[in-house]
Amino acid sequence: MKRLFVLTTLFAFYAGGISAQGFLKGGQVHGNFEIDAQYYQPDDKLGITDSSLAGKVYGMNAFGNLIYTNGGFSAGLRYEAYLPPLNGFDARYEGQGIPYWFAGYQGDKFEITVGHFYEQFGNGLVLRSYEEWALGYDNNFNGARIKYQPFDGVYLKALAGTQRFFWEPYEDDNRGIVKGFDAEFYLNDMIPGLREKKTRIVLGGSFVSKYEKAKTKSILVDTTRYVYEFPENVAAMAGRVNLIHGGFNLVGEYAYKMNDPSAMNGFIYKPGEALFTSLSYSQKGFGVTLSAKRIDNMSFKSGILEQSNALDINYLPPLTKQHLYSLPTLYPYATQPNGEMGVQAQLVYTIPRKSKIGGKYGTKIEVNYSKINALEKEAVEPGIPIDSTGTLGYRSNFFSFGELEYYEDLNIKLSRKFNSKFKASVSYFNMKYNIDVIEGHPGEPMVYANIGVLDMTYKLDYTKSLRLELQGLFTEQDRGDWATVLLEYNVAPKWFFSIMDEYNYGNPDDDMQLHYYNAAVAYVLHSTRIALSYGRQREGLLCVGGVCRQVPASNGFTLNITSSF
Amino acid sequence: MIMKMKKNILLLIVSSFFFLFTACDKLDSPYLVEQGHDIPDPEEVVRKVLLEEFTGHKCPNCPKGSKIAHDLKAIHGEQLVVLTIHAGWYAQTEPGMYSEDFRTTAGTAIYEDFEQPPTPQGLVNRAQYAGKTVLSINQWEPALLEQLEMEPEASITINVDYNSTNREVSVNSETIFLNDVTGEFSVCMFITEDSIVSPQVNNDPDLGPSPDWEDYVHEHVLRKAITGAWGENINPGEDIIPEEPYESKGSVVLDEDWRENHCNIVAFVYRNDTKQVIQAEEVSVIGE
Repeated sequence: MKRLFVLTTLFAFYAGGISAQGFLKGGQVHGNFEIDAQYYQPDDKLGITDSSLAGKVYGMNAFGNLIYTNGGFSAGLRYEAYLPPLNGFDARYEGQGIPYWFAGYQGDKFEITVGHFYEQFGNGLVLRSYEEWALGYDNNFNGARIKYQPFDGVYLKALAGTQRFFWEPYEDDNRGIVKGFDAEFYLNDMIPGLREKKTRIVLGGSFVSKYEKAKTKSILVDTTRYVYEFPENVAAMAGRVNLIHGGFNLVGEYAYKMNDPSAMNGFIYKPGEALFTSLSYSQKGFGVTLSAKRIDNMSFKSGILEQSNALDINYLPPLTKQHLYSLPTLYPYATQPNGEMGVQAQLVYTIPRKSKIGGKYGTKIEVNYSKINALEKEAVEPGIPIDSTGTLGYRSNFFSFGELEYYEDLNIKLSRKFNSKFKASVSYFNMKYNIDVIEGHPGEPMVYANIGVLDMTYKLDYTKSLRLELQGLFTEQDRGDWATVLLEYNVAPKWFFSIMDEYNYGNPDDDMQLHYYNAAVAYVLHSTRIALSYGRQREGLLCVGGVCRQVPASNGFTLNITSSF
Repeated sequence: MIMKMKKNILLLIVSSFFFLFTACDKLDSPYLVEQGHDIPDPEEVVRKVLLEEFTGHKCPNCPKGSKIAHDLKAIHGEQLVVLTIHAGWYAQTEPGMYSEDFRTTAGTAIYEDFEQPPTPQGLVNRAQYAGKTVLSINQWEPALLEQLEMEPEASITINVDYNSTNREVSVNSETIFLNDVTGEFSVCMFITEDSIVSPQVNNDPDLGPSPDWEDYVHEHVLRKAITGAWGENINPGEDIIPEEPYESKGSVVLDEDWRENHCNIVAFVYRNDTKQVIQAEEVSVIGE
């Protein structure tokens, strides 16, 4: 197929001198590149020895995107190389090649894409494919997609394809085929009488179906063998609404998935459900958002046996704040696709400038609270344990929170510019983190952590600035207390220097009371940025949008080069 | 004209929804269908032979042995199951290049039970060939051919569930005897890893760098015994019933250094009195 694409493209270019020139005339090529390389060193304190490195003293992840556009036509490809993959990335990525290429044409009301593509229906509850380089996550579709706008305010999408699974090509039914259809209706554009109304209404609906050749899986109960009946076709559907009125914005989406026994849910047959709602209000200097969600057995993959971060058809948006400071990221939340109930509230308020409390430049207050619990579960029938494989698994009241807490986070941030040279912010985080469930550390107690961050920036002159971060994390559990100091020196727009030390001084194991030091320098030349750092990386979870990967401890040099044109 | 177009679009939307909605198999309880026992057709059961290769990363002659095992595997495919056991003096570690420890409790137990032979030597189904059980590398092929000529006596089916989140491998094997047999039998389940790049002492420059082959690729390396070195007795004090399944279960959490896509489960059944292996099987941890 890839060969066919290349041949077709070459044919398009060389089908004749005149037509090739015509094809190229007015065309533009864009692209971007990234190389991430690490050189690993033994570090006895981290338990990294020559033998544990096993000869793997370096790793490199790299990609390059090339996109050609000419009027409505576009074609592109992405080359990737993992030689070998950096520590913490799935070893199945090892190798290099072109996992993504496409060609498409976009007209006024019609768009067609063949090859690989990314897509999202609504909030993604039943379908979202995307790529997240930092996670090593890519579930792109390989197939065909059509978008059509039959008349004002109506947007239709239909697609069919198979998903990326590292470097393994689709063959012999080794994974499922996904088909999907989405319709979105902007009522104000569709109905002339609503065009001038202040209230904007958008409705949407999606259907997704996965076909996967039934696997044979059996189970012995006592001495009798049973075979699972697997559905070859699994459908999921969702309806959504978006109401906007002045500063108010209401978003809601409900999704339902038919019986989908899989390795992820322990082969139970309960239908899946998800509800995601969000109500926000904003005006100048003030914004508030209230959100709630329920996830119930909503892992939806195009591989019934797959349990890693691969072959996900859908995406379950997180309801927790993604923190940027390093110590709060010690305890990130990973979405639990088998079930969770969550609420979140966010408030942003800027105390007006030139007021008594707000000061000359104003003071910004950000408050965020989120809480995620397990589902409340009951046995399907007396005598059948909850979550029993080969059954409906459990029953659950749609609006009930389970008693088991997964995550709770209250954080407050105050930011203020004091004068033309100095600005600062202070943050406080109070976290409750179920490390047993989120990180899969069976039996470990709930982590209760208090974290404080002071962030100060001082402008030395027009281009130079210093930034100092002081962080402290205090907990009786897990690895105990941490303190962090980070100092950055910026010479805009070309140079950047930083030194950092994360000190785990409260680790209950005296030998692990380590300094995780790091020094970095970066240089920007036009659209190219080159960064080199040296230091220790602490072990932990790296999460983006509730999807996480494990980052192992390491020590050594890291080179990062990004460029675009 | 516009009305007609809108009607067509509406029809397209409705039919698309209908098409996708019907693309779903709704199942009703019971979701598990009783199968009883799959009785293997003796004509379809293939005899698979176990080669246990005793080796060590500081053993200068061992690359020769591994080369022979590799060549035999290339010829006989799934009918040969290789288990590489690092044990003995040459498998000891030392600071520097040979600090990786491939030894295992189970491997050492087997090695000691077969009287700590010099490496490289091996066992072919733990059966006697030319009056010996522990065979030199040149005897592996004739012993293997002799074993392969025998009729299969049992079948082994291995079911593996790998949880990539906590890296736990749950294994369930089912052994079915094809004919009447006497005596007690045990089933062993081991986990092995392929394609481990780690130094190996080598005295044969024709095979690779000598004396230290730094990027040597170790194959079929025994990592852990899931059911202990000697497995589980499946019929203590009872006769074997032909065509009845004998189940063995176990689980193991993969070490963080073990790459699941290179790990395999090796299972075999042997007579308790002679330790002779009558059937072996091997499957990948993550599936084919």
